Amino acid sequence: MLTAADAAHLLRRAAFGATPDQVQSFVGLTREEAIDRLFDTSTDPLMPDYSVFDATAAQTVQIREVRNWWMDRMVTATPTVSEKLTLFWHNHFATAFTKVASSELMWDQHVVLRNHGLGSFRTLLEAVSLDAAMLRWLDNDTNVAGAEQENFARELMELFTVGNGRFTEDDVVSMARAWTGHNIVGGERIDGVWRMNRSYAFYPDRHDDGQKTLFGITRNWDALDTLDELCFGVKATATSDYVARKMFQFYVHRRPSQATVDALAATWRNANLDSSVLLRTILLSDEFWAPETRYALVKNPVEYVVDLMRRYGLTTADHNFAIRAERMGMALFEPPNVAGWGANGYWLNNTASWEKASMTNWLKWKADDYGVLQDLANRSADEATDDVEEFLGLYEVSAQSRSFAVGLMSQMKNDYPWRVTSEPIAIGLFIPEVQCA
Amino acid sequence: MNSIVDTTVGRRRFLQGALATGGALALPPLLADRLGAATTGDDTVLVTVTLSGGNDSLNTVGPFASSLYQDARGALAIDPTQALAIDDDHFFHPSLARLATRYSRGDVAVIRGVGEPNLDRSHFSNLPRWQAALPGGAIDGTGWLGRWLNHSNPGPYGAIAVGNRGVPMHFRGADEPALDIPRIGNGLYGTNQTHAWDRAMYDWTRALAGTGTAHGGLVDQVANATSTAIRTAGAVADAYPAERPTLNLEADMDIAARVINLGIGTRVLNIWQHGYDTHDSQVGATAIEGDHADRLAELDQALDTFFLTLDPAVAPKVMVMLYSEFGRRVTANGSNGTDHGTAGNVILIGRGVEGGVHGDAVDLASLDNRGDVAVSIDLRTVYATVLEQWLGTESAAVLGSTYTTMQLVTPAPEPEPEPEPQPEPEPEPEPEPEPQPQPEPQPEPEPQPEPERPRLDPMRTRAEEIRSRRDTDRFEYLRRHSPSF
Repeated sequence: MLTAADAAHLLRRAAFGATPDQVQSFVGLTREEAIDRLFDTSTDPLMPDYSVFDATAAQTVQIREVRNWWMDRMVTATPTVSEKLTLFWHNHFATAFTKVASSELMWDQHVVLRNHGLGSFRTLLEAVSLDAAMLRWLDNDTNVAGAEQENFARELMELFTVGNGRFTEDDVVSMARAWTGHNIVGGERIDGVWRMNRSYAFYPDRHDDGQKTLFGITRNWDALDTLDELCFGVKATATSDYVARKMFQFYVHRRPSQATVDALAATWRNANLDSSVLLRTILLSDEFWAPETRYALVKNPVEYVVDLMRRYGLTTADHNFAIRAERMGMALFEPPNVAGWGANGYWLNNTASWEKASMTNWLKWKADDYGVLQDLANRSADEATDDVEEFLGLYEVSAQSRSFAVGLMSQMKNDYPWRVTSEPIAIGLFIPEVQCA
Repeated sequence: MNSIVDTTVGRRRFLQGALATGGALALPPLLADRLGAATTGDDTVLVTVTLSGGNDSLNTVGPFASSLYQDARGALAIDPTQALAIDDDHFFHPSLARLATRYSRGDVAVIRGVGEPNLDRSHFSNLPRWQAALPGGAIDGTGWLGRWLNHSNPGPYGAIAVGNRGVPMHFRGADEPALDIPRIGNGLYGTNQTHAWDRAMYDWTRALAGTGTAHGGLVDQVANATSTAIRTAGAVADAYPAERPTLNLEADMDIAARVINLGIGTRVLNIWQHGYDTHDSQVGATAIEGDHADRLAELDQALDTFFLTLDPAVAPKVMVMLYSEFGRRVTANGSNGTDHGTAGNVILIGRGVEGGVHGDAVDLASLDNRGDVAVSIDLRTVYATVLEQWLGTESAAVLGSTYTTMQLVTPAPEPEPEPEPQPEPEPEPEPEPEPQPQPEPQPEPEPQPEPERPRLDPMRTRAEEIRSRRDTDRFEYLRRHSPSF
């Protein structure tokens, strides 16, 4: 049976945090029941068409709108696994608007990640690989026989499937050849103007259909065959190991044992790489629920910001939270490179700390406006700390953090009683557990 | 008349030649940072600029006039008459006019053929290997300057990473983490000492960081990070200028110089420059246009801003190191760009460096089976040299093994035989290797009414153009600049 602390933990990890009411609605469920509820994506809002965005606006404006749209959805949608898992895949197949330079192509890729994120990894891999944003991002749109372009070939293996050290330079050459001719419609210069069309196309005349040796197997490899081999063939173990480990680290903690990963990868392979099976297995594992797993990850900036927006009941229309996350180092649709964003210690630095403090300052001055924690005048320091912790979804706070908060609360109440409407939330936001998931 | 300098002049005569021709690319006058003599000691500063993505070293400083180069590079090949000759064989990319000027003054060392002998062509393996510099290409999460930090213990502000990317791996050590500071410094939490409630928050936060929590691990790291930010804010707030350069790289280098000027004991700094992964659009309509030319122009401008912002008194103690995770393939791919390669250049800049081109010429006649040049110098040799000769540290203690060193730092001038109370310490005649004919004695080439410097300098104009385009609309900029758009 889930306690409030258990429910808060699950909702922090599988979703983007939850209000006290949402936490309460999970209390008393079994782990299976709670996870089933999160997997019930029928409550997800319907996806709009891209036409909700102003396609006549500058691309940089459009991508901001798309970014705000996604953050608002993370804030407002009933918690399910969809949003967090889509973020995982966005980071896995990290593609940046900076190079793709088309907001709509970024959107199309986002839809692909959503549509296939909970299904077969093989299907997802194909859909992403043949997606125009990815073809642009890793230059396979210009990979043609006789003038191969290795960028996609290498990252397909190194970052998307098997991981580094599990393929050779010869494999890179053969992989690039196998992917020649898999380009973009109109992806060519016409009268000096580059036409960027919106879809994948295969050009047989640009494809190298000679014999190629890939992973020690010589045949006339073509693009989709290589994906089969990576997912189900000689590289199945490597791919399942690499992706399962990455997902475990995203949802549970940094250092899974090899035995844990092996078991997870085997389960996933037995399910034909159905990603919903992989995620469900991770969330149901004892390691996920273990006491030492609580607060064992650092929230990335989007998690941090979205969690607080939800508690305040605000969207990006109220305040530009997306720019807050960006200043902390994370703008959706703009990962820093093809490896995506880092994790945990990657987010602990002065730049991020100062931005969090700046956001805390904003939130504390707005506490009054939004009616947050306004009835603490007659509460003791202990009681006020309880209220703050509940508001922030903090359970299982360490004794040291607790005495930090109570001590500071007490000093503030004594010395600056007129600041009772602003300081409690600030104190809460300086409890270090707030930055962890 | 487009030819910038006679390609046959040697390095030493380059400056004179360029000055005399007064051609299209007249060199800027001697700069303020020229003052003072180089020294090494316990207050030297090393600034690494990480050229992220794999800089095409062959087009940065290359044998542009060689037929091997011209044949191998095809459309990527730079016309030597459009480039900046630094000696009989080598040219700087035309975007690097200011750096070429520094080279001509003996302030730039170009080390060729540097790389990771255990390389693979992955950004994510090779950059960490460059940054770790452990024997055999091992990676353990620490970097060479992070271990130096642990070893030398230069104090709480010994290592600072500038920009909005946190602490890079080469600054990570076993403990005593390096710090990062952002590009924009308004409202650094910890600087406002006006309000008692802020001061109370600072005190309690620092106290919590001192005790740790029952969760340990990352929760404690969060508490430490907050406390560190409060402390750092007070130390660096004065480094932020009221008005900062618009281009990110230039802004970062400007802040780096100001942090050094603060004199808070900063010995190593890092700045990132992104955009060197030029798989496509490396060159544009001509080989001297395109993404690579733009990146180098930004770099050239930013380096100049950096040296001009440095306090002249400390400038001689500052060395800049440009490095990248690998060079690029010799031949072009199908997208007007290049794929990942092997060896690259390390470029050292500063009053203290032994100017010139170091290392064997890159052998374009014998490429490996991928068409890449051989690594002829282990990157650890360069690091060992910088550690020994510039940072004054026994390199084996940092690198975990002993490597040969090169002569990359100008030997310190003979220490004066100290005790003798000389009446007037006669400035010793500098042990100049070869008495350089100074340009001065020549009848000053007619002090022509100096047109405003910005106009004179096509590179500055170009950088400004880039900047203004970006300001107006980044998308438009991309559209115009990316042939593949």
